[in-house]
Parts: sequence; structure tokens; C-alpha cells
Amino acid sequence: MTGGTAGEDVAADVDAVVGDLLRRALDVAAWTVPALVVDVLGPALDARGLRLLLVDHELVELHEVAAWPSGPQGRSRPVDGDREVEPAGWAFRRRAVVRDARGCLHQPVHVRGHRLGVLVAEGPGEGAEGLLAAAAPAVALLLRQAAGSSDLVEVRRRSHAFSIAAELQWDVLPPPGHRGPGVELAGLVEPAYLATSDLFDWAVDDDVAWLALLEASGEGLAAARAADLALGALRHGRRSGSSLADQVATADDVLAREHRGGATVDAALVRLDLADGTAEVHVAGDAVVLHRREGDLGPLHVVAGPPLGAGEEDRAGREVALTPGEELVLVSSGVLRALSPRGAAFGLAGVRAALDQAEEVLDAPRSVARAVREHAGGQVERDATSLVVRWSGPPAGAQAGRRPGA
Amino acid sequence: MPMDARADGRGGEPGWEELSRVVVDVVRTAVAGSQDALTPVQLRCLEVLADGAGRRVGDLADELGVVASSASRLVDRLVALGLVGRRQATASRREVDVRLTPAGRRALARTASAVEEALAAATAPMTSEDQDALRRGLAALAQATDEAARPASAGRPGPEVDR
Repeated sequence: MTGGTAGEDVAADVDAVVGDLLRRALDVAAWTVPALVVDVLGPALDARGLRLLLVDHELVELHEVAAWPSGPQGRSRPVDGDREVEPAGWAFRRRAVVRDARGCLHQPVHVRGHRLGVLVAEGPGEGAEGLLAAAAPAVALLLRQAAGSSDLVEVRRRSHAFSIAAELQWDVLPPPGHRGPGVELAGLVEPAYLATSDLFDWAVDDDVAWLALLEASGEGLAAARAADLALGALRHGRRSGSSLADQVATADDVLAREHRGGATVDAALVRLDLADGTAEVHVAGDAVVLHRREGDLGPLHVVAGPPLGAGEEDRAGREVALTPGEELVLVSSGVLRALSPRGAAFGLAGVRAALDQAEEVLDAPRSVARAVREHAGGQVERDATSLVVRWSGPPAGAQAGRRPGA
Repeated sequence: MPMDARADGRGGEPGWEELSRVVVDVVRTAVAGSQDALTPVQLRCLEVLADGAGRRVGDLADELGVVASSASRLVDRLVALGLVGRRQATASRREVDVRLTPAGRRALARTASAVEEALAAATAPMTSEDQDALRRGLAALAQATDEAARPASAGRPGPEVDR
């Protein structure tokens, strides 16, 4: 690494710098990775300064967790805002690099649809765009890996202290977004730091995307445990090769036996065949599946069975054929029933407007959470969760060979 | 212990401390036995926060009449239960902001109705005249203490630091 002074040097060094970053970051203690990232990339970018901002779980604020050369100032920036006023938030939201009026480069840090934050380079040398773009996915991977063995990265990105229930729920939640061949999906529980009754889950394997949205009855730790149990049962079934119907039966059975009808979980489950767009949909209890096509959003009519835990044998799903670009939107009752201070429900119209506001699927649940929060006057009464999946067409088509995270 | 054993010098009638314990015991048992099983100081904390305003831990300690470290532990516990939300602003510790969550508001409402039910049950065997007299007496006491407390708290300066 030379910390080149001319533009060509920065560009030529890209592979060497990223390789150096990976080697050194895997060699230090996990909690020092954020500091190492800016210490390595700052000089390599020939910048006056480099700051690493990580987004909170609510996707509302970006918190400065590392800075070169001076150390983090603890400054925070909102995710929402105009490009001119909040270039870091704009870069994060749009997943696009921004050069602001002061010449700062704001590079979103994301990988495979998993959005972590923004790198902000002050007065970088020429060719810095290329290096930042190449380094950002590596930084995202390093931060995700570091968070697995250190609390520091996790705690510093939080805007609010978590409840115990939220700690439990975030331990079992999958990454909040994914973008791969044939599919884009994203989910979010609002408010993240109080997540209790709601969970979502997804997995993409072998040209199949599995999705689940769960909503336990009751509240507090009892609700969190019931939702966790349902999620564990569904994952067990999925990983054992069970059909969607059998996964539902397993979760229903284990909840009924553990809680004897005392704890039930509403659920919406989808098995999406990425090769042909066929979606198998099951609904248990009050969970809702919406269908979005050509900008129009309506409920997908599914005969709902009783909630999981009711011990019901007789359940039926339905199939729906999606065309490329269509979306399924799974929402918990906390979204549709969120009340404004005047008592108006958020409802389908609220979801429709929030989805129209989102730039892309990866940003859709954030947009829904924000709209529900505003509708409810700042604080939602119950967990409000949405999980959005978009079938982008058969993976063998135009999507094939696409760079992950691109 | 029979009541007359602890009677003060007022002609064998129970003293204020003894009388207050009757009400306090009913309330305490109702609070502890309700679904949320709040402690008295947790309940008091939620009641203070019920106006919906955010507070720094230091301000909360002042209103509860406890030292800041106690208030901090109390808030930690309520945050863990999800009844209270606390900002974790890395920007400035002074901005640390504590407020009631919707779950906290529901716990407060459940506890209040448990107390209401317990007192209704406890007073049910009394004659309606006695019930009215008790209600009137307690209302008068509430008004008297409210008036006594007002001038003292009005001009009180807020705390400068959290801890």
C-alpha cells in the first residue's frame, strides 16, 4: 500500500488495498475491525479523513463508529433527508455513491442486499470512487463477521437499548434483506428495539425462496418465546425437507403440545419457485398476504386456517402464479391495525402509499415501518412487521451471472 | 397481631401508621399479584412517565426521590422488560432519554385496574355509608397533600447532571 498521491495510483492499488484490508482485518480482534477499516482505507484513499457510519436496527439513524485519523466523534445522521442536507442518509437509502458539495464521497456499505452503513471520505484523491466501491462489500462482510464475535459493533450501532425480548428476537432473525438471482426480499420489525411478538424468516436455496412472517398472541416474553418456538419448528421442517404444509403442521403441533392452546401464533408462509414464479401460500390466523403488480396492491385471497398452536389438522394453502417483477407483501396486524391519534387504521391504503414511496424492495419494509410510526404519532402500539419479496424472473435469464450485491 | 396491641394513646384507636398499612397492604398485594408483578418503585416510575414526556435519568431520580444510581438500575430493569425505552445515543450522554413504551402503558393500565378491583373487593363488605366516608376522607387527604406539595416543587431547580 503506497497511499498514492496521484489518481492512477489509487486506482491501480485497488486490489492490493482490498486484499491487504481483508488479511489485516482477519488478523486483529473482532472489536477493532471498524477502526482498522478506516485506518487502512483512509490513507489508501489519499483522503483528509474517513468515517464509518453504521445504521441502527430501525434503519432510522447512522452512527459514527470509527474515524480516521482522529477517532469517532459519536456523531449521528438521519437516514431520511434530502440528498443535499443528508448525503450519507441518501447514499444509504438509495445504495448509491454521493459526492456532496464539500467534495465528500458517501459510499454505501452493503453486501448481498444486507445494508450496514456508509463510508464517508473527506477530500479523497482521484480514483477514490473505484477503491471505495471495491472495498465496500469487503467492509460489509468483515463487519458482519466481526459482529458475530464482538458486542462493540452491535452496541455502537444501536439508537435505543434493547429489551430482553428484542435481544431474543434479533438473535433468531435472519439478515434484513437479500438480493440474488431471481429474487429480492427484505423484512423489518418496527420498533426493532422492542421487537416482541413478531418475527420473520427467509432462506433461498436451490431456486426456491422460503418466507415466513409470524405474530404471536399476547405480549412480553411469553409472546417472544411462542414466536421463537414457532420459528424453530418451521426452520426444522424446512431443513428436514418438509413441504410447506408439513412445516405448518409441525409448528402447529409443537405449539399446541408446549402451550396447550395457551399460546398461538398467526403466520403467513410462502414457498416461491424462482424458476417459474409459482408461489405456494399458507395463512394461519390473522396474518395477511398482499399481492403487488403494476403498482397496484391488493389482498391475496387465501383461506386462512386457525393460528398455529390451535392443533388443527385440516389446513389448505393456495398457489398463485407470479409474473416477473410482481411482489408478495406479508404484513402483521400491527401494520394494518396501527391507529392514528384520531383512531384511523393504517390499513391497505397506508401500505400502498408506503410501498410507492420506496425506491426498491430492499427499502420497502423501512418505508412501511416509517409510515406506520408516523401514522401512529411516533410510537406503534404493537410490533408492526412487513416482509416483501419480488420475483425478478427465472435466474437462468437476465439475472444469471450478476455480481452478488451489485 | 391484634390491632389493639399496637394502639396508640388515642383512646385505644389505631394510629395513622396502622391505618395506612391497611390500604397499603391491599394495594401492594394487588400490584404484586397482577400479571406484570411490578414492584412499588417500578410502578411509581411508570406513573411518573405516564405523561408521555421523555426524561433524563437524573430528572427521573429527582422526581422519584431516589439517587441517580438507583434510578439508573430501576430504568435498566424496566428497559429489559420492554416497559420503558431508553435512547442509547453515542452522541451525547446528556441526551439519554427515558420514556414509557406502549407495553409500559398497558402494564400500567393493567396494574391500575388490578388495584381498583382489589380495593373494590376489600371495601365490598362495608356499608355504603362507610365506603363513601372512606372515599371522601382519602380524596380530602389527596387534596391536602397535593396543595402542600405544590409550592415546594414549583421553584425547585432541575438537576444539572445525570450522575
